[in-house]
Amino acid sequence: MILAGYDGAKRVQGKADDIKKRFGVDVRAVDGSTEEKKIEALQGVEVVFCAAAAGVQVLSSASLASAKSLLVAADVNAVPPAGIEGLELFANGAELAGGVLGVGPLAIGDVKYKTEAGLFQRMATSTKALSLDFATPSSWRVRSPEAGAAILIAASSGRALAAAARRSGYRPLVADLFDDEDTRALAATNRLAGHPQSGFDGEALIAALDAMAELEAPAGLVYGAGFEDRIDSSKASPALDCFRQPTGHGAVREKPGRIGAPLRRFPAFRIQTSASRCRKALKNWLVKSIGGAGGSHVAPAAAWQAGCESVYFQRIAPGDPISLLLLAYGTNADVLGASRQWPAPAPDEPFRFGGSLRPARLSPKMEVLLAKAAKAVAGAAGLRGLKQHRFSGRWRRFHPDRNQPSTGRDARHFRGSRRPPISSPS
Amino acid sequence: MTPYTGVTLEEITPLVQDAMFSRSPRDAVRTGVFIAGKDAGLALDMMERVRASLLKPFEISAFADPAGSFTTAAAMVACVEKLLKQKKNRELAKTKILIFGALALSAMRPASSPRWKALT
Repeated sequence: MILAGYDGAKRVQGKADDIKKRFGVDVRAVDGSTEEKKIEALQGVEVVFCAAAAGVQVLSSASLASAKSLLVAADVNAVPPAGIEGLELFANGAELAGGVLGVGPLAIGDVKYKTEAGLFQRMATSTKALSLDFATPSSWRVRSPEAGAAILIAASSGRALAAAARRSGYRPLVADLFDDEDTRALAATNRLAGHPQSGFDGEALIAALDAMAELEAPAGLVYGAGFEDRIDSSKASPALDCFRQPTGHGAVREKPGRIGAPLRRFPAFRIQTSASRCRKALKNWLVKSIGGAGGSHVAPAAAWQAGCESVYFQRIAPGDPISLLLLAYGTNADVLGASRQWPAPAPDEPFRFGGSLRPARLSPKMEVLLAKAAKAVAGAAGLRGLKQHRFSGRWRRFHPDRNQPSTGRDARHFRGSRRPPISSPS
Repeated sequence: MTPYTGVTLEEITPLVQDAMFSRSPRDAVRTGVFIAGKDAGLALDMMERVRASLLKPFEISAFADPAGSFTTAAAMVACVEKLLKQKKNRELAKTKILIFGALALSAMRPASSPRWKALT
């Protein structure tokens, strides 16, 4: 990194020394007092940051054109003349002389004031003391795609997620099992990728996602229900690689011990894969089909019949289900918030999903405790992407319920939420 | 919100400790110090002093953004990083960078990111 001084190298040398001492960065000072010296300083440089006094032109079109290796030039001076000749106030990638991409002061200003306001908000709502001076890496990693961005959606029914994407100003590209008229009306593009009875056809799904990704360069992939029993289907898609797409479900099956470890502190957390182990107290247990969702996969354990294998048993925890929405990064996760759910029992489906509300009205302490457990599970499993983790309970007793590897209906409660995450990666 | 002007480095510890000890630890966390001014180096020294003045469980938040320079510089770096990645498929950390106007405070932040230590 090089610092250039408009009045010679001497003055900026002091600053370079200070930066070197303070941050251990290799910085060198050069003389940028004349046009020739600026051109000389620009040799081999790929990025230029201009932070000179207001109303001073630092770089002319001629010097930009002479800088053969230069890729991007940014300037924060909003007072005419521009610090970089030909740079528009709102430029964000517009070409300058020599094909250099320019970033203008008000494009930067827009991000700046959002950053500053966001940090104030974070400081005002944090439950622990923060130290914000940019000298330490920020853990605030949640960032929305730009308005109008395309979002890939894969879900057994893509309608709800497509509607959510539209409400937030994005263009949904949907692969689902229904191809219904409602979804068609919402989606920018949509494809059929399986059958409602048999689920996703892996190859068809990957092909559909790839084709849409190539056409629209989407900002990301959001996937909903329909993958709970297909832990590996999100693996292979060259076009989707760029998203470091949601993976890690395989690990839940491969490393159950390690993933269960963060949950052991919840004494009532018991899962059995065989009915004989919980038979004695069968009335206090539920049976759930592996990979199910929506509540119709849950029944009292007494309803289980021998021979029905792809199930697990879980002890009943009294109280309401709480759902935490996570943005997982593989080794860590942001917990975006919590919502509360209730069932709408039907005669043959006593635990059918009814609805959900936010806020979940948990105490801050309980919120942090549940967030920690959910993060530990996501980290141990190496999950990526938007996930939900469910707990059941009331008052001060909550029990882990289910780790849902996809985005559920509760995600809509977080649209436009300005509340910082309950807990960021530590 | 209470502004204190003309604060020196030596006055940081008493100011911070007066703020944090005057409320219960649970409420102290709702107190925040914002460091403004025009001197980025001094603001960073003050942040260091704030951190050294905190005693568990009495902790308060602190945020330094002298003349808005840290957030401006962070935004400038973020915009350029994104553009490099999207349009040129390049990592900012692996590019050679020239900064004009090093005395303008903004330049401090690009220089201060730990990610940049791997650079040049």
